[in-house]
Amino acid sequence: MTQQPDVDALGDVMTGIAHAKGLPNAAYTSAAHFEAEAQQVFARNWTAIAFAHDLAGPSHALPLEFMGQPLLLASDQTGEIRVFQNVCRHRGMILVDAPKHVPGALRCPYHSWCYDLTGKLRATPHVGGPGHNCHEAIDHNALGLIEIRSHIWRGVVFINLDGTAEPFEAANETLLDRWSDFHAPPLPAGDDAQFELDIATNWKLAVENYCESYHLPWVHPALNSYSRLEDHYNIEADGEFSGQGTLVYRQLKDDAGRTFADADGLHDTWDEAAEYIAVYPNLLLGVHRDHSFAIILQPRAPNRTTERVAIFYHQPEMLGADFADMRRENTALWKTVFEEDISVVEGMQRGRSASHFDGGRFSPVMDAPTHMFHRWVASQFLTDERD
Amino acid sequence: MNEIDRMLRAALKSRDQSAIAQLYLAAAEAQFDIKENDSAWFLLTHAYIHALEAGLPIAALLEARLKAENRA
Repeated sequence: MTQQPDVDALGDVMTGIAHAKGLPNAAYTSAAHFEAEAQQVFARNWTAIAFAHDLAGPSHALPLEFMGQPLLLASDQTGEIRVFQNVCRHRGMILVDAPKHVPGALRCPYHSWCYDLTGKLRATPHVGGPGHNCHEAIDHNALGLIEIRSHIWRGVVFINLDGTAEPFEAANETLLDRWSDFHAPPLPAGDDAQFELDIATNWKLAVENYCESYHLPWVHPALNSYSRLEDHYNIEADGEFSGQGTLVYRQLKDDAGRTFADADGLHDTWDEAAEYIAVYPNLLLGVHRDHSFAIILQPRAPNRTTERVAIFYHQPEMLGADFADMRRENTALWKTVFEEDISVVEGMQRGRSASHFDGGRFSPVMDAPTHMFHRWVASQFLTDERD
Repeated sequence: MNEIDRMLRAALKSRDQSAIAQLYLAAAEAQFDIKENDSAWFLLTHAYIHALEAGLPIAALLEARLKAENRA
């Protein structure tokens, strides 16, 4: 076991749902646990860190930080995206401190070592003395930027920081197969289709709330007019993801009766179905016949999380001015839904300060997706479970 | 302060990478003209680095000059 926060409490999580308890308070409130998660939960799995469209196009660089790691998202001249540690190989200076177009090379602001956007070290000025820009001890081929293993799927950039995870396609085989109808890359729709929510909660509570339908009739009462609790079903793939689906998805229509265009080649089952899945650890996805969305959870502190939400469409015509009003309405609808969840995820966070709270119990029927997530988190701290 | 210095300071202030590279190159050539080679290679290095950062075609030429002298 490594950096084990509380063996007994994790054992209670791993048992069957009828008798299981949730993760202990410390998993939501402790700075030590939060730091342990950086390695045990995020570094060794495929973690969502950004949207591919955060980069303005080819030849751009975007610095970002995830769980304390300074990262650099970079697109080369061909548009290929890579992720690097955002540090110069010379003295560890932060290389890029603001998004920028990079017409030629990245130049370290300290001693001007230069790298191209594939990470190759291109120049080391004066490294052999004034006007001498090479030295036998400085092997350019060995001192490129430190690349982090990355993968892009459904417009989201994932990294596996420690390089030990299975290949992305293998680690997510079940979900890729489940959503094979949505194989085409989703189309981001710009500023009117994205927003952020800064929430006073632990990132795990956002996952837990997202992946169950139990709360819908109470927290989102507007759904009750057309979407009953029994119209929803649990989605569970042990060790990979969990969530819920609906059988009564209703498309948004404008005054002229227009809807957003469907993805090509969808099976009939998607006519009124939609699915909402938490891809462990930190990505919340929703797919519908006519649009999809992704929420990247950025843990900021044990009790603070930023939700980055982006809505995508399936057909390029949906990105035009003709559909701008509908896109804005769709964005506003989802923002309302996600804002309705804030009070409960913040309330659960405050509840984790109750010293006698024991992790709570689960509905054996309604909370299976949530318990599955708890088990997955616990298993990341239990080497035997993971191996 | 000579004219190149004045123009270089203005270019650095306005972060005009193309001008910075060209002016460092002009300063380097002036040093070569008076046989101040150490100073010249120092300045040519700066011309190269700014040209490389800016993606200017002249970067390849400057790199070739440095490599020819085993300086890159």
